[in-house]
Amino acid sequence: MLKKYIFPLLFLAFISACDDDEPETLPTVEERSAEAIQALKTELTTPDNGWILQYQPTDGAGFFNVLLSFDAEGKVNIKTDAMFNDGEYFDQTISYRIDNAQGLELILETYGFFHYLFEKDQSTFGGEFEFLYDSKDGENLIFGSLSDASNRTVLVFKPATAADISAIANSRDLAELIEASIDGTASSLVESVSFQVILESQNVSVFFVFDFDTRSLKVLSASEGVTEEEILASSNNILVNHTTGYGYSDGSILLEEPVAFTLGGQQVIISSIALTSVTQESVTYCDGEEASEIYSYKGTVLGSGNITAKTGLFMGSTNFQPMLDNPFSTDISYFYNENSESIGDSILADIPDAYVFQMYYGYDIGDTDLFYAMGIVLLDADNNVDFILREFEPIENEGNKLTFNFTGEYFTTKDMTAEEEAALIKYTDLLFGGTSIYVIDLAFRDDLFILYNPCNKYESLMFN
Amino acid sequence: MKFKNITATTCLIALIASLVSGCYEKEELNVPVTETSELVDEIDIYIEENFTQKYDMAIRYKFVDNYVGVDERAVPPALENVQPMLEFIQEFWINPYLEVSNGADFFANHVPPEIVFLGGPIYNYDGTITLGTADAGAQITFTNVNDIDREDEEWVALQLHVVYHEFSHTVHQRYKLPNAFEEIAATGYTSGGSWYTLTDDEALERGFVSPYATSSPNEDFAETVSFYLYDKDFIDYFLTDEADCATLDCESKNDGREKIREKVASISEHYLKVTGIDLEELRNIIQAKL
Repeated sequence: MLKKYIFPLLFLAFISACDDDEPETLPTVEERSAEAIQALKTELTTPDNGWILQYQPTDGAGFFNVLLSFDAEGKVNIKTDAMFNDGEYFDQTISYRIDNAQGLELILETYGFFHYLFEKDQSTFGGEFEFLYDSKDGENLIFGSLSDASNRTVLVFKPATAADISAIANSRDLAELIEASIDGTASSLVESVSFQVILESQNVSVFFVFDFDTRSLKVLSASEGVTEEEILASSNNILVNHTTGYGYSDGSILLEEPVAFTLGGQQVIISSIALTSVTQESVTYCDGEEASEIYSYKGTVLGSGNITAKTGLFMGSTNFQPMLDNPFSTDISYFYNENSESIGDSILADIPDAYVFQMYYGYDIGDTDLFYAMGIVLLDADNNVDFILREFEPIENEGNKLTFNFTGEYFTTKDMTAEEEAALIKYTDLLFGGTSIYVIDLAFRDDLFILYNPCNKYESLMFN
Repeated sequence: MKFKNITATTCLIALIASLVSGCYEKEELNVPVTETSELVDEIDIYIEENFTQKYDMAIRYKFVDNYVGVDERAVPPALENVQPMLEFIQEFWINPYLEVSNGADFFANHVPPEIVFLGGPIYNYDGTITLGTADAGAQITFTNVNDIDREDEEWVALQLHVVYHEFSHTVHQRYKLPNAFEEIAATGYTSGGSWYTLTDDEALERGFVSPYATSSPNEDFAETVSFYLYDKDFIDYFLTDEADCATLDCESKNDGREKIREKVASISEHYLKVTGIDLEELRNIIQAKL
């Protein structure tokens, strides 16, 4: 009986539902989408001082302070404390758009600070410039990365205050102050800068390596003493190998994970470093060569008092240590002259079958003595592999300084030609002979080192 | 009986659905994903007046995801590089066609409707990068716009190589390849995806201007046109035999040059016939600007 009446009733309902006098109708999909876009745009453009964001592009990297001021015409002014490209991204205005696709998306449409990080390391670093709106949390807006496939970066936009604006200016000043030190590095291969941070009241030197682009640092080692002589004479030397991201906050370098260790009975904890002034000094790394400029900062570390932080080649220790199981190796194109030009083609011209370079540094070949030799692995057109190696004496490190003394002996798997022998001597002398070679540890990699010859400025990348 | 039950239920669902949806005028599911707004920026007005209205060509410099594939990553250009890039393509791509005999009509009738600017290369997930792409004559993508530097020969060569290559595809797509073009170096084409194993010299010995040209007759056509137009050394290197050959390599390259001469003649005749454009005249105009 019910069935009999249901269709007429539904038909009436259909007719009445379309009555123009209906007081309220649901908006269309386009209208709802436009409303949602407009609502987010209104949110973004509302704060008088814009939004402050502590942006960490990826795990392991540090954070950047970013101030975003959106206008209603699709432009966003971005202020940061990032020194990339000599401060190109300190202050710029680019265009933005809000889409409604996978949800509400904030797209930074033209190139700027975020895109620089997105492109870093062949676009593998983990930056982003497209954000998916997630929610509003109190006054804050929460966005997630649209381009992270996993472990999605979360961005918290907080309404900025006038104090945030002056704080970001202070952070920018600090970035300029410390990152100017890149000009005081001898090696030109990577943008890592090594610092000796002297805790004056404790007579302790802590050796840092900073990577300014990723805002990451490594506390490499710590030693008792201030001068190179004191450090080398002391038995209190430890490798620390503490890696952390950092950022600039309240005029200080703030370590995301503070470093703590004990040296000679003294507890050392460093969570932030404040720098106040800088001077430039001259040092000579090679007798008879012109002096190099280094940067020397004054500042404080909470709990340790006054410090001096100096750039320079000398470090109290290094991770470049004898390897029993494998040689260090590198492509011959990773040898560079004083102009930072690869000398790989010159090596190939002198040794046509040169394939890779190997350094056997305390290698265990099953003999009573460990093996010390370096040279070229040859690969001929028939895929035959041979070795021409030049022996050197066992090395005693002086911090990160290594002195290679060649013995005059060679290890070869073929009859080395006179030309090959001459070339082997020529290039190993240029790169590693005649003086102490500085090993430069990197902030972001444990398997890669730079070996730097301070007398002729030749250098090489060496992998373990 | 069962059929009736199903029918009644279906009708009921359809009716309720129409109740819910019937009141919304112009309801569509293909909602545009981007905002549209009036042109207020100088650069957008410049593009509208100088490219969209003149040539019916949209210039896309603001980033949209679907300009690259799902396995690719790219960034947009910096705003300050857009105008110089527009001037570059006007001078080195559009103007030569406007200046060459019969070129203006050809350009107007064959111009791709969409030009995309990307700031850097396209980063592929396999670690490689892509420099310039096109989509069946509908879109040409310029990469590395942020590196714009007219004094940088490598950068200029990249951009001109891409645009002349991609634009030439419209010719064989509309008018087919020259007669028997693929027979000129028939044995030199590579099997699917293996062109990148060839060196430049090996490609030349096979009668091709580049390894990529060996990938198919269509790409061979586009590469040959592109190299012919932008490479200032084309005639000396690709068309002129090395004298006093004393090695097999040298003779092989000269054999390859013979095939390239034949291709250039075939392509030039074809262009003149189907487009009215004298490629040599076009090359001379372009070379005078470089």
